[in-house]
Amino acid sequence: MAGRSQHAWQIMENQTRFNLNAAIEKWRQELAAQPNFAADERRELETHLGDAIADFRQRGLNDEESFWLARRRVGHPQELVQEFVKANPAKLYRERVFWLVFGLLIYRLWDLLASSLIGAVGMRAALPGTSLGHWLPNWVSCYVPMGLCSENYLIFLSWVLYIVNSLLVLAVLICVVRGQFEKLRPIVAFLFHSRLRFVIIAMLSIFVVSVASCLILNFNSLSFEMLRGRFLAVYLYSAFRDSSIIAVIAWLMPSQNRSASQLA
Amino acid sequence: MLTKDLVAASSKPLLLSILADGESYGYEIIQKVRELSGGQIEWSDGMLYPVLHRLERDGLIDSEWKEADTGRQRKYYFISSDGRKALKTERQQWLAVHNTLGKLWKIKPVSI
Repeated sequence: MAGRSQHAWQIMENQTRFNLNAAIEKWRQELAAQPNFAADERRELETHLGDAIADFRQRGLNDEESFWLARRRVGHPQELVQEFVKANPAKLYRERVFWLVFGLLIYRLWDLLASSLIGAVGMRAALPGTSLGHWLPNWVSCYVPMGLCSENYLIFLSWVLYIVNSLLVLAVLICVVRGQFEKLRPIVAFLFHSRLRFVIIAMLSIFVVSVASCLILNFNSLSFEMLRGRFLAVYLYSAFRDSSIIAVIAWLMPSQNRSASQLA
Repeated sequence: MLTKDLVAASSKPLLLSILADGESYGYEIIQKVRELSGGQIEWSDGMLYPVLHRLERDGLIDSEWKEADTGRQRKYYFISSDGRKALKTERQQWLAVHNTLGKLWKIKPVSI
């Protein structure tokens, strides 16, 4: 009996708390998180949801009931995507290339940061007189892998970087297998809200990470001396590469920012 | 209830026939199909739009955003001249099937 009254109380509380506009807005955002919907298609589905809600309300249902019934009828955004993709398979490949290039950008950011961190720590350790070979007594260093104590040190560092980079790929794979990407949905929706927002955020993060990696490396004066000769060429090259990656993503990304404001 | 295959196959002639009667939008089309079929043909809302968009890409229908009397913007679809031609072919084919089955089931044939 107590459980029942609590249940009734919960329903009542939900009813008073239910905000139709907020619920519609949330549904819109879920839809917006699907990057392969064109703005026009999303707008059309939104008007459809609106029509269905209006229809149910006219039949005497309350806001909450109307919303959930309409939402169920229109379908879950993810299922909608599958239906839309079936009708236009070219879009599927566009979407795959989009995520591939986006993955490339994330990998690039990770690599930039990881290589400068590993580089800074590693180079410091590799300075003449400070490498492991000098710290450790001979009877220990002869058991340590060659790369750690000699000029092969750089090769060893590139191995470390390779392993650290693989960790990112591994983490992504685990997330995919466990289906945990749902949690990233709000971030994705925010990032891909509009082309302009994406380009600004992407450019800023590349810039910040590049400057950070520069600073990290410069803690070690030797690395700066080593880099200086090629400094401009290297940075021009990476700037060109990163901006082309960002440009390709922005191009593949369907424009999304129109409908939400127009339908509000 | 119709099987999935039959729903998919009949969507093109149904949509073209509805739009041949006059322009319409997604929600109205679904209601109309439900009503006309007596609930026998239940289109999922998510399935309708891809079909409409495909017909539009094929040039059989056109679309336009217009303001409805409620003040809400809606995307209206209307049939093109190619669409009318396609409807004619569809009609012949569906009636051919209908008449063949009709002969077997001893139902009066319909003139094509």
